[in-house]
Amino acid sequence: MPNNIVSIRDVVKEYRLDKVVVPALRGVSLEVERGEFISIAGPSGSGKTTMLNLIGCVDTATRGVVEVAGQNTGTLSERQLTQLRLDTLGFIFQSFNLVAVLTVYQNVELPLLLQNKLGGAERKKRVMELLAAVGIDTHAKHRPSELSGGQRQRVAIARALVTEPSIVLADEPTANLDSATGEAIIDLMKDLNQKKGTTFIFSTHDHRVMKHADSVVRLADGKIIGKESADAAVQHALQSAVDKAPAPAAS
Amino acid sequence: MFSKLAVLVRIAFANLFGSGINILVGVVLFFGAALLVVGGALFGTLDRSLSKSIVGSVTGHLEVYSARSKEKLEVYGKFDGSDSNLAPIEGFSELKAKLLQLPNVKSVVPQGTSGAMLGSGNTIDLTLEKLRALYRNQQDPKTALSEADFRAQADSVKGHVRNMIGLLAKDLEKVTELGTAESVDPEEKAALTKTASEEFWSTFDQEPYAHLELLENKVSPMVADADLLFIRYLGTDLDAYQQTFDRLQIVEGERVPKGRRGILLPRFFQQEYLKLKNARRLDKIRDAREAGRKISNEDDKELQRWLRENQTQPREIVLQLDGIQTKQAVEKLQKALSSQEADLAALLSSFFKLTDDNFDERYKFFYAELAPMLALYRVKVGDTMTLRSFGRSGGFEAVSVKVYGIFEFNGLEKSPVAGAAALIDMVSFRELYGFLTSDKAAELQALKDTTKAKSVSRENAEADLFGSDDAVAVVETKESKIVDLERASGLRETAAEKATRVYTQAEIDNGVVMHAAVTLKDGSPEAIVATRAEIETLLAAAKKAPAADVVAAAQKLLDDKKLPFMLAAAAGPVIDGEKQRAAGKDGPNDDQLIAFKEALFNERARLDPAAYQTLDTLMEGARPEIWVVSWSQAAGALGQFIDVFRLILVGMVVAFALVALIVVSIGVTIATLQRTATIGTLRAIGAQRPFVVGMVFTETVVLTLVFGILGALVGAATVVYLHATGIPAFRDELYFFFSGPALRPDLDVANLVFSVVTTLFVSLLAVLVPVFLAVRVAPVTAMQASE
Ligand SMILES: Nc1ncnc2c1ncn2[C@@H]1O[C@H](COP(=O)(O)OP(=O)(O)OP(=O)(O)O)[C@@H](O)[C@H]1O
Ligand SMILES: [Mg+2]
Repeated sequence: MPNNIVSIRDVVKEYRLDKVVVPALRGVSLEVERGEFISIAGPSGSGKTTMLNLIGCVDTATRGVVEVAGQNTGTLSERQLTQLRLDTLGFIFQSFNLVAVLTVYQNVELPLLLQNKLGGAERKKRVMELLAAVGIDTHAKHRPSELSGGQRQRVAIARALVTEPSIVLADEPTANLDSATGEAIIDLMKDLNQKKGTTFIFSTHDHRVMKHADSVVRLADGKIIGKESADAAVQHALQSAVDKAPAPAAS
Repeated sequence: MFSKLAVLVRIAFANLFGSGINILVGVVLFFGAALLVVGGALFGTLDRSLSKSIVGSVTGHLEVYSARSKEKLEVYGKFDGSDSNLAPIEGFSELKAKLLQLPNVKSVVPQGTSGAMLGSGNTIDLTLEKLRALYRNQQDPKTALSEADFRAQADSVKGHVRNMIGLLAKDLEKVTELGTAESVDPEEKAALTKTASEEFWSTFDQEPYAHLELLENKVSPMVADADLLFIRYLGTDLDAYQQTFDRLQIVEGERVPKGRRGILLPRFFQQEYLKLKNARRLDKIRDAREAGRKISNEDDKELQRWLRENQTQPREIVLQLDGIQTKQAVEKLQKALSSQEADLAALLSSFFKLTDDNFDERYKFFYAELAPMLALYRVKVGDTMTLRSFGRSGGFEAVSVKVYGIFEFNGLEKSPVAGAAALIDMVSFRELYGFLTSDKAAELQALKDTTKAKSVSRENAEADLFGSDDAVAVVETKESKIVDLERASGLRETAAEKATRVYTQAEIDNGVVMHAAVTLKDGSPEAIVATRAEIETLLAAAKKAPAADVVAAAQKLLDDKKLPFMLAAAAGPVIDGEKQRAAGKDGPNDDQLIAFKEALFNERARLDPAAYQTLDTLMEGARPEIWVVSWSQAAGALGQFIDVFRLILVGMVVAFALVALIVVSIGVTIATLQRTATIGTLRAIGAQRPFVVGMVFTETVVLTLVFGILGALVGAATVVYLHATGIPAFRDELYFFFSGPALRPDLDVANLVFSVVTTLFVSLLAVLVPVFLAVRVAPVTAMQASE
């Protein structure tokens, strides 16, 4: 399936802590098509972040194959992986990870400067367009510290998209936001997914967030226990919440 | 690339005030850079001003001296105060002519330094001399006084002498009472008893000279406070010297006329040693008070000592006054102090009970009323003074020279160092130092051998030391033959001849010269080095070709590792140099040779004779006839202060570098660790490792440049301020170092650049650790980060 933007086959990821081997993923396979808007769900410690790290090329699998945009990440050098991240991937972090000393505009511009492909005028146009698209263009000169959490995550989304990547990865992008803001952020992501056709893969605990996904990959204990529709996933999530007395709000 | 750099600089600037750690690092760099600028300027200027003092008062830019000398030249004397053991320069006038051919050489001034006892005599000596002159003049009808006048004067002077003997006898009694009688020389006691007796004085006129002799030989030496003064002197071509060292200023009297014999005394010496002690102390108290010190301050030990000594030691004044003067002084003091006291010493003691209130009044009284009766200075301009020194021959040489004037060096007025040495003409120097050129010495030796006379017998040496010109006359009669012969070869003239004869330039130049100052037209440090090398080359031309077998033998000693470490280290360059020279290239330079010679001398006891012989032969073959050394080398210990300054400066730079290294590396490491999340994020979104390295570097460079330049500028402002206000020489010794009453540090652009560059260099070095840490931040860190 060469058309698939992400292809994971029989991936095992183990963390070694001194002599103890902690298995984080125990043989998972997953295909993600271009333009999908999928969510990775599962309880804490189930391996969501681990999986996103593998897809995001910031970590490599212990065994198995991870293909991103047609490249087997296990065969790439650290330098090539970095280049792949720069050109093909966009990242949205749970805690936003904006560069505190740079303005909103400068944060968004940063990946373009790293890429060094566009001229100054084009760059400016691209950045301003995106800031407008995420509704933060009026705050271009602000520092991240002067923004609310939701605004910051909007900036992060703009930064993730500014290089027009094929995939945007988001690890619990709403975990640090209240639920209304979180939903607005997911809406924004969905909107951009539809307009630009960018593939979005995001992890979450939250069923209110899950329900916006095209499909949900459910992880448990390092294994994929199914890829299903959002509604089904929400049902499962609610079910497991009932099973385990306290409601799972945030990680 | 450019845009990346732009973002790096942008992040760097944004981070500059973003973290407290950066500010801390910045402050250290700021002060460091400022310190380097100020310190650099201060020590640089100190270096220059000390060099100005030394170069401008004695050494010129370079000094030349005989390479046969046993020791190194130290114009200010060695540590122990004695003089370097130098061999004389043979053929000074040829050397001078040769050196003057070099375009950068301005003048060559012959010199020789030594020390002598100043036999200005004590008060008794002076009084006895007065008495002797009275009797002598009376014998000559041309100078004789009327009998009545003669009686009156002779009695007054005799009374003065008896008065002094009385004081001496009292002193002696005190010593006996204190039980330290064994220290009393019975012969002295006998002499005192005898000269104090009525009989001695009543028979005086029958045999005046015999009586005077007894007084001169036995009593006079007992006056301990005659303190035979020691004076250092620089023998030189006075005319050339005065032209060359134009900081020299005659403050009293006149220059020594061209070609004449004569001596110029340093004002500092005159004030410090020749002035009546009580008066000198009064001056010092006045200076102290002007500097804000208070007599009432019991803790001011120095000031209290002066006050005390003036009270307890009025004797110098008492001894100086004859009967009539004593009476006058007593009356004046009684009136001034409204006292009934009749004893002059007691009156003086209470007069010198000074307070902050009465000081000004008494100071004025002293100079207005008492001083005119006193000889304020033991030697005055116009006097002829007798210098006595141990000559090279082993005996005492005594030379009388006229004091033409008192001098000072501009800006160094208060400096004890600059004011330590008198200037004496070359001819008198030679006579005093007992030096003859080798051919003349041989000639004289031959003459002496034929007459089988010793040049100066022990007895005569003693008479010479304590006697007056007449004693010299005795010596002269006794050795008239030798003296005649010496005179025939131009070595000795009569006192009258000495005083009036004008010596030709050839006579001044054609004798023994110990060393010579070479002044340059361009005296910059680089020019000094260059000209020194030129002179070395010029003088090396006379060397014989190196003996291959000696060089080979020395090389073998070196190869066999038989030489002590220091010697081996010093010998290496000389052996290599000699090989070069054999190949027609430049040989070893003077510094290498001098170092080798010194090492050889130091290790001579540890070497087996054959090895010593080999190395000594190597040395003798490799050395020139004349060494040429820089002014700082010639200045010996004093010149080494320059090295000390440089060392301090280097120490400062190193200390700063270490502190900065530690602070910057710790600071930037902390700042880096604080930003692992940011670094991880940047890595995750696609920044390569070099970008991270660049980020840490740029940040440090920006930090360093901003604070370093700011610090350097503040340092520069401080230097400009210090230049304008000047750092006063708060101790007299500092005058010499400051080359004047205040140090005015000069701002040097090189200092600024050096300061910033050093700061930057250290920072870049310090940043290696944090850079190492930064590149190891994994992109995955970004995922784990929480704000
Ligand atoms: N760096 C690591 N070193 C060791 N073990 C790790 C590391 N990262 C994750 N793990 C382990 O791997 C397993 C999966 O962790 P992962 O972070 O992927 O779970 P998660 O689904 O993202 O959980 P959460 O919802 O709490 O974020 C866990 O058991 C975790 O303890
Ligand atoms: Mg997680």
